[in-house]
Amino acid sequence: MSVWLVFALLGVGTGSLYAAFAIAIIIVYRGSGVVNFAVGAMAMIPAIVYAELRATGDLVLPVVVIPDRYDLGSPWGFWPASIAGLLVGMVFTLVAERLVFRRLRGAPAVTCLVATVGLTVVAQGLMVRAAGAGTRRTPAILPDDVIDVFGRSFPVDRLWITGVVLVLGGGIAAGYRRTRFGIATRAAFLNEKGAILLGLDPRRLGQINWLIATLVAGTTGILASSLGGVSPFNYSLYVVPALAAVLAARLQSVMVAVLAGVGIGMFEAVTVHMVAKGHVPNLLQGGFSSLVPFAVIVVMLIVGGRTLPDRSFVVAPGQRPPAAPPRWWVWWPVIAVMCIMIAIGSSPLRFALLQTLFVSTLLMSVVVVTGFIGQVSLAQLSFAGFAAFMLSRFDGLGFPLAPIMAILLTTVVGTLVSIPALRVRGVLFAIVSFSVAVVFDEVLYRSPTFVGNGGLARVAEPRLFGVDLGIYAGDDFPSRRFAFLALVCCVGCGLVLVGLRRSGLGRRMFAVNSNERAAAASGIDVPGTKVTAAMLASAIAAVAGVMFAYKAVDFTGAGLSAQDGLQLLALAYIGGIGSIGGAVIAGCLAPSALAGYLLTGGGSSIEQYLVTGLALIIVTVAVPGGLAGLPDLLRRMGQQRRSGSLSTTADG
Amino acid sequence: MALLESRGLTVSYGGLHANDQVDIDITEGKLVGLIGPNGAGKTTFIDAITGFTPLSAGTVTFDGVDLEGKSPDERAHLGLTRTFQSLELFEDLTVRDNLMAAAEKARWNSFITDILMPGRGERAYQQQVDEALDALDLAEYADRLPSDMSHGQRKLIGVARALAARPKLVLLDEPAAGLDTQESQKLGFKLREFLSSGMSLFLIDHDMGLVLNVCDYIYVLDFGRIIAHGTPAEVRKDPTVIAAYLGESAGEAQASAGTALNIATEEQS
Repeated sequence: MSVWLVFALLGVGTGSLYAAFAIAIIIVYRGSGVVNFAVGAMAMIPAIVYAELRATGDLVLPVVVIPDRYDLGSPWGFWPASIAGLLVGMVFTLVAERLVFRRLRGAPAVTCLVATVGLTVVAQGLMVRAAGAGTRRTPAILPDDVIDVFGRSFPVDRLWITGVVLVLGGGIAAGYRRTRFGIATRAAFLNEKGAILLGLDPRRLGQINWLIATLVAGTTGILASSLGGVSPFNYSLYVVPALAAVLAARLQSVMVAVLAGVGIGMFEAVTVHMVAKGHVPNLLQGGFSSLVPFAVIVVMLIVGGRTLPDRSFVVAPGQRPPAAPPRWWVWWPVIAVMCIMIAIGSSPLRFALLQTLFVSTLLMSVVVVTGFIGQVSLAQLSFAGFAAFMLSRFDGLGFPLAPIMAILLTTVVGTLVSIPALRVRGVLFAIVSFSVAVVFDEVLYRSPTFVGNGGLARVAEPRLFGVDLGIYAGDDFPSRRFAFLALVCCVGCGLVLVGLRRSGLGRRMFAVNSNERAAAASGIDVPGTKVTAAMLASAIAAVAGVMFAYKAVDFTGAGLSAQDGLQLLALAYIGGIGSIGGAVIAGCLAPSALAGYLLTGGGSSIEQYLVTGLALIIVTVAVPGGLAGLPDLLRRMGQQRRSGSLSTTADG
Repeated sequence: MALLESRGLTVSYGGLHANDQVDIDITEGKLVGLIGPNGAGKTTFIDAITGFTPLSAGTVTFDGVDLEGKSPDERAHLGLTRTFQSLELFEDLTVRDNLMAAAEKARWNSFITDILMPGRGERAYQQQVDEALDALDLAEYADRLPSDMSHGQRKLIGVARALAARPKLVLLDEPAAGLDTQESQKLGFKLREFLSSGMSLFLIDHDMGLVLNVCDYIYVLDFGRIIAHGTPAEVRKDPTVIAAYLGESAGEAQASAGTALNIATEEQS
């Protein structure tokens, strides 16, 4: 018993970080209605600035164009370095708030969430450029004695950081309840118009709340850099447990979030011990502890899904697939060009094309979820990965049967996983799907038992009637036959979507998306329609996964992680979420895909990553339809200008 | 036996009875009205009948079927549809597709046939939809989006959508709210026409002229209870009704205006 207690206590350190991030998420949500995935980045920037100042005395800044590193002499002490770190973080937040989130006031909550994903990507890209991608540890800040608990040594700094976070949480909870500022923030959250009428400025309140959240996240980030170290990426992984704590607090109570965060950390530590003790089946050994936040999220949604606050609308007008039939005069040439690329293109070009086809197909499954049903799913890549691993398991069945089985099984699993999420909409659905992605990533794709063959999955070349259709067929790698096969699959999925758009099922999905009440009153089975959409989306994702597996032949979970899923969603938004054209454009823009090959000669770099993030932010703020919606947007603007000039001439 | 019967229908929120022991019969082929002051529980009654609000007590039978435990979409399939006070149109679908979505009956296999053979089997529903569009003079707007249309037209789309599935009974929640007098009168004539095509109607409205003129039978609701019922002529004279609802001179003026219209309607038919 005491052993379990010791392990639970060991978890309070990580739990405190979750708790602090949860506080920061709640502050921003109450202050500006944004669910902030970028909280990890907001903690990371001050922490890295601090770490660099303490180690080298260099000031690194998350900037482009001007130099990002300044030599300020010998290493700094704790206080000046941490103050400098927090100041840099606050300026970064101020700029982001001013340029992005202030413009997104009143935009769908999911658009704001996607913008925070973009902000995360930008912050990570900038800090990698400025300070490198490595993990750095800073000198101890908190007392780091080791004490004896039940005969085991226990580092006391874990308790110190918990104490700091508890005091922080208590102070913030009291501050928001007692002070005029806290009451004003709540008033503006509950009724923005009313608050304006009372003379409050919600934009200013939002800005101050963003800054407070930066201080909370940054302080914690600096403290944590002395415990587990900081890299541009590691803090972003704490977002899911933090979100679980936030949901447990119903996006409201700071103190409940703190307790939930610490609790999740403790349970995680206990599950780690369970794995070490062999209490857990081999299959789950990969990342059993990541099930804890997932369980909290799912339970919260099942228990309180309907009562959790949410803004009902998800996708802004102009982001939906057009009601018009597909523009064949665009699509025939696109398909023809792809055929020509396959027939006479060089090997790297064909490889880039394969990547484009894979990403396009995968994003078509996002079109079903987002464009038709109006949900934003971050789990589609995980379903694709599941299909890839299942294909390697079913490989013995031979070509047409093995992929069919893999796709069927993935469809079933994807549908089952989606069912608990049917109760929620909008930003909550995005959160739950992201936690699904984390679980698949941590538990399954890192489990040697699941992946098989000692952690490296393998599929045989597809072969039909004695003809080798695989990527290694013939002399030319990648083989032209395989590329044609991939093109056929991608076009086939596109045709399914075109058919869906014209069918009664598509209409019912749109109806459910538009208005669930009215859909039910019109005789449409709302849950059934959503399940069908989830099924179809999983099936298309599975097709993409099969393409992924046959393309790679040997593969691990690399490229299928939850973070990759975030980047994919970013691409989908840039291309134009919810339309087939958007999926294909995003497929071209994906790392190592066509655009990269044609513009930079292939490969993926940190600059590309950074540009993706910046483009994502620009799209969310300025072009809700993405690149695919750009022609329509320009046409509408042109019409407005023309009608505007007409009316002025009429006046004159 | 009436097409729809509610017996002892009660909807409570905490201690408050939004509907208290409501007994209403809607006879086949008739237009039955429900009137009452704001907050009397009229919309709650429609929500309860269509399955959007759970009953605290009582029963509802429709066409001989007990509706308990049936979801709103199952009730719609039985032939019981409704409109909404706040319209709740499918804003992303064209007017025609708004109606198509309501008219089509999905079967278990339709997701396969829909994807493989889109458009197949739509013809039967097309005709239904065209009829509903014609009935409300919306045919020329069929390919527009609801958001491009006037409030009056949007009201009519809501009604047309409820008619598109060829229901047995349509519950209309304030279809005339926000319409001008002329549009409201026109709607009244339309409603009488639908009755002749074998449909039954249930109408809630604030426009006393409309309700008193077009309904065959009227129930009066106040504080969740039925305080009177009868033909329009009986209800108009009922002292409790006058006290609760029509009492003010404005109400009487409306009532007498209704009389004039009523004659016009009868002459028409």
